[in-house]
Formats: sequence, structure tokens, C-alpha cells
Amino acid sequence: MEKLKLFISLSWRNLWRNYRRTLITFSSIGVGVWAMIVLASLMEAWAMSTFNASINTLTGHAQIHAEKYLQDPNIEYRIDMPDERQTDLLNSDTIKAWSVRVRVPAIVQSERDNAPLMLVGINPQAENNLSFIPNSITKGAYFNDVKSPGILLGKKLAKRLRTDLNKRVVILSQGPNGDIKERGFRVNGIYEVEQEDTESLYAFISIKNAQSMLKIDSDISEISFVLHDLNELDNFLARYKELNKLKNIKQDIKSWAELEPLTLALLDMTSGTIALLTVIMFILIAFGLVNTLLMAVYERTREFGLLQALGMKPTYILYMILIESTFLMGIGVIVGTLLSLSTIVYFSNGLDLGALAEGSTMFGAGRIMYPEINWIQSSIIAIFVWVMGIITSLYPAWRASREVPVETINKAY
Amino acid sequence: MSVIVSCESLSKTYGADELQVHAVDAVNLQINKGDFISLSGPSGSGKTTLLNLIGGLDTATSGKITVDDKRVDKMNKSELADMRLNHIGFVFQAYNLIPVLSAYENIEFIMQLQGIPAENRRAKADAILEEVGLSGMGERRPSQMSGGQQQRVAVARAIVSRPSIVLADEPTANLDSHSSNDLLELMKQLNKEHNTTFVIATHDQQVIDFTQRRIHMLDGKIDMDEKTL
Repeated sequence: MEKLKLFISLSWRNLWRNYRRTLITFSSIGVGVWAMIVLASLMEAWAMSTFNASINTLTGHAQIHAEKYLQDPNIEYRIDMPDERQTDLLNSDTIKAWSVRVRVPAIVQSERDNAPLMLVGINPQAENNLSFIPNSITKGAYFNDVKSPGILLGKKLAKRLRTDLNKRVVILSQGPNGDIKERGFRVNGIYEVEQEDTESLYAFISIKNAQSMLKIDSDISEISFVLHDLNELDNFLARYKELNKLKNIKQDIKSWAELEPLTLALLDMTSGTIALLTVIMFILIAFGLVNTLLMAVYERTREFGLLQALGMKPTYILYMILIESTFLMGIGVIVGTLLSLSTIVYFSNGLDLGALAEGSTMFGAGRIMYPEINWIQSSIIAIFVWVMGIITSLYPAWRASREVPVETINKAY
Repeated sequence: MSVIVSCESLSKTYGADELQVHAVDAVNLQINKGDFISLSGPSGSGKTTLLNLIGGLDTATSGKITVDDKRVDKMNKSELADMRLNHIGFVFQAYNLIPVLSAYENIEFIMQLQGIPAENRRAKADAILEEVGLSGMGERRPSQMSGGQQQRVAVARAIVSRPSIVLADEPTANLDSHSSNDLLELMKQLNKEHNTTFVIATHDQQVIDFTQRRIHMLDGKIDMDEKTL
């Protein structure tokens, strides 16, 4: 214990012998750790933004379709409204919100222009808590019920069609028998979302209007739902599949990960990228650390010789340098971690990516990131840097412990 | 008189083949408890090398060295460190105090390595500082002391744990004549009062005149070993 006190005292004081160098090293470690944790948090926020945007657009946590619909989203491949037992399951406590939709490819024609799109027939109330559309109307009004007239267009599509609120557009789509169905709609509302592609792609009408226009009675294209707890998804899908199996219903039931493989890949890539960046940043820190410690060791070769001459064992010299490195890394890591957590808290109400958002929205993410403190991830990064830093300093410490007293003791200061 | 150090056919050779230098050449030497020895000779005569070999700072090419009946030439690095810690005190030409420690802490350093509790250490450090004439200067760092004062702290550090022998390499080389004289008086006093054995490697005639046993070296060999009354 006495020896440990001595080593700690010596290490701490040695650290401040060249305080400028020590402060620079603290700063570089601190900035490195700060960058790692903040970057990891932003990447997670970006990944979550992509995930949420993907889920909120129309996907939900899972969807149910007719077989082949996903390969060819045609009105030919449709399903019945959920029966009583399916409805009971969808109304269970596990499910936060669910809705049925008709979704078919169509062409919209204004008096000025036309454009291809995906026509979605929705149950307006059921879309609450499920998709973006109820909260995205910036002009006009949302639908009141399943029979509401009119159509909701994205701002970008409306601009392209050179149409506006209360003007009429005509929708053309293929009916179940291959014949073309068409109907005119008055623009009831314009919606805006961060992903402009979505604004161009989707137009919404009430589900009854869609069914009557396409002459498909009460048939639907899809059931979409979100759960209170995403961890329950596999279990729920298994129950639904089991129910279908009992009733010999053949439906294509897919989770968000199967429906949005790009989003899944991005989430996976984010974890990998964070790990990779952590390692790269650490390597940069490690070079600085080794350089600092080696310089400190070379400057003090004579002193290490003296310490050994006075009876300090080589292993004690090694411990002393490792303790010095523990202080050096520790303070840098603590300062960097505190700074990074402050930065994350500061931006937790939203970090507007501004001009960078173009690239971000390309992958479905929002323009505004909401970084959150991930205690586990931050701790892992901090501990990783700290421990690896100490391991890295083994080399300078070993060099110091190898000093031969007689070769260094008589060198002049 | 008990023998503290014994060297038998002790040699240290540097280089190889025709470039070989015999820094210490088949030296036989016995140092007794309480000896106050000067080890003199011209530069390159081997006095510092002999001192380093006795202190376990350097390894012999051949021959035997025992300190307190322990074979120094057979010890590994860790055992040598233990031997230096518990049996040998060093005083160097350049003082060699640890710059980040105060005078107290420099003196306590050895005791701390020996695991002596803090309360005992401070009492011993106080006593030894008074003995070397530096009472009240314990909190000063080396940079806040003169050369003579630093060397006194170095002597205090060397003797505080009552080693079997103190090896001093040119301890007065960086001191003015007044400080040198004070230091020598101090070492002689410690030799008399505590029967501490001193071996002082030196060029300085003033130092040689102070000692009661004078060993002279030339070309790695002892060419004179005499005692004065």
C-alpha cells in the first residue's frame, strides 16, 4: 500500500512536470473521445431517424398482403378485410395502431400535367399513430371518415401537376379485370414531409372511395400495424401466422426488416461504422499517447536509472508509467465524455442538418436529428479508449523499466 | 572487524578482441564494517566501475562480489534492486535527487519502498535532516536548494535506512571547497557515530586526506591500499 501511494504520488507529479505537453495530450484525448461519442450519437440519431421515417411513411412495424402483391403491387393481388379472430388479434394490447389500406399504382392527371403515383385508400382515423399522413396536412384538411371525398396530394406532386387546393384531378388505375378505372377528385389537402420523394409518390383518398372506384367491394391491399413494443413483433407475427394456418388463409406477412431491407442494412451498418470509427479514432489517439509517453520516458531515462539504483524494481517503474498513463487517459477520457454528453444534451431538442440534409433525406432520414445519450455506448467508448490507452502505454513503460542504471545514472542533466 | 564487501578476482571488460578495455582487472578487495575509504586514481582507472560493480549497478565479467555475505554477481535485476534498497546507500556526483519530490519525500523514498509506515518515516526523516544540518528545509524541492544542500539531502537519503555501506561517486565534484569540507565532515561524523561504512570514489586530494583507508587504482588494478592512523 505504501508503495502504491508512492507510485501514485510520483506519477501524478511527473504528469505535471511538463504541464503544457500534458494539457495538449489531455486535449487531444478529450477531443478524440468527444468526437467519438458525439459522432456515434449522431449516427445513431440518423439511423433512428431513417428507421422512424421508414416506419412512419406507411410501412409500420409489419404488413400483411396477398401473396405476390409485393412482387407486383397490383389490384389483382388483394385480401379480404380481417375476419373476427384476426380483428381480435389486431385489437389486442400488443398493437398500438393498425389499419387496412387499398394501395395501387395509378396515374394522376391535372388540367396541366400528369404523373405516375401510388394511390392509397385509407381509413383516416385508423391512420392516427400509424403513419405520417394525419399530421402532415399543411394546406386544406384531412379526411373526416372512410367515405370522405377528395384527394390528398404531396406538395411536390401538386407543384409538378401545377394544381392546388380545391382543383380537380383525375385518377386512372387498373381495375381487377384489367380494365381502366378512373374517377375525378377535388384536391382536399396538400401534405408536406421531409422526404420529397414521398410527396411525389403517394396520393391518398378515403378507403371507401378507393374500393368503389376500383370495384373491389370491401377488399383491401394491405394491413399495416405498429406495436407498443417492437420486441414483441416476432411473437405477434408468429401468432398471426398460426391463426392464418388454422384457417388455411394464405397471406404474405412481413416485418419492417423484410419490407425495408435498406433501412435494416443502414441500421446494421451504423453499428459497424460506430465500432470502426471508434477504432480509427483510438488509433489516432494512441499515436499521440505513445509519442507523449515515449518523450516523457526518454527525457527521464536518467531518473529511471536513479530510481532503480535506489532500489526500485523494474516492474515498479513499469507500474509507475502505467499509473501515469492511467491518469493521462483517465482525465482526457472523463473531460471528453463530459463534453460529449453536454453536447448531446444541448442538441437533444434537434440538430438541424441544414444543407447536409439533402444527402441525409436521400436515405430516408429526417432533416433534423435528435441525438440522445446512449449511456451504454458512451461507457463502452470511454472504457475502451481508457483501457486501450493503458495497454498502448505498455511499450513506453516497458522501455522505461528496461533502462540500465549504470548507463543512465552518470549522464549529466 | 566484520567484512561487509568482498571482491575476488573481480574483472569488468568492455569491448571485444583487440578493442577490449579492462576497466577493472582481477581486483581483490575486502571492505570492513566502519571503514572510511577513498578510492582514487586518474580518469579511466576503474574506480567508478568498481563502485558500480559493488553497488550492483553494473555486472562483472568475471570474479566474485559479496555484500553482507550475499553474492551480488549471481543476482537478477529484481534481487539487485532489493539488495541496493536494503544494504547500500548511494551518493552521486550530480546529487540525483528526484526533482518532483521535496527533501522530506526524497529521504522518505527509500523507506517508502521498504514499506515503512508514514508516521515512522517522517520522524526518521526529521531526525536525519537535523543530523545533516537541514532542519526546517524538508518541504523544499531540489530546485529550491543549493548544490551543497542537495548533496546533504542525498547523503541523508543514503544513510536514513542504515545501509551496510554507502558508495559515493565524486560527491564533492560539483561543490565549492567550503561545501565540500562541510560534506566531508558530515560523512566522517556519520562514520564515527553510526559506524557507517563509506567508500568514496574521488579525484579530490581534500577528500583523500579525510579518509582513514586510501585505495589507489591504476589501469583497473589496485596499486595502493593503505590505512592512516
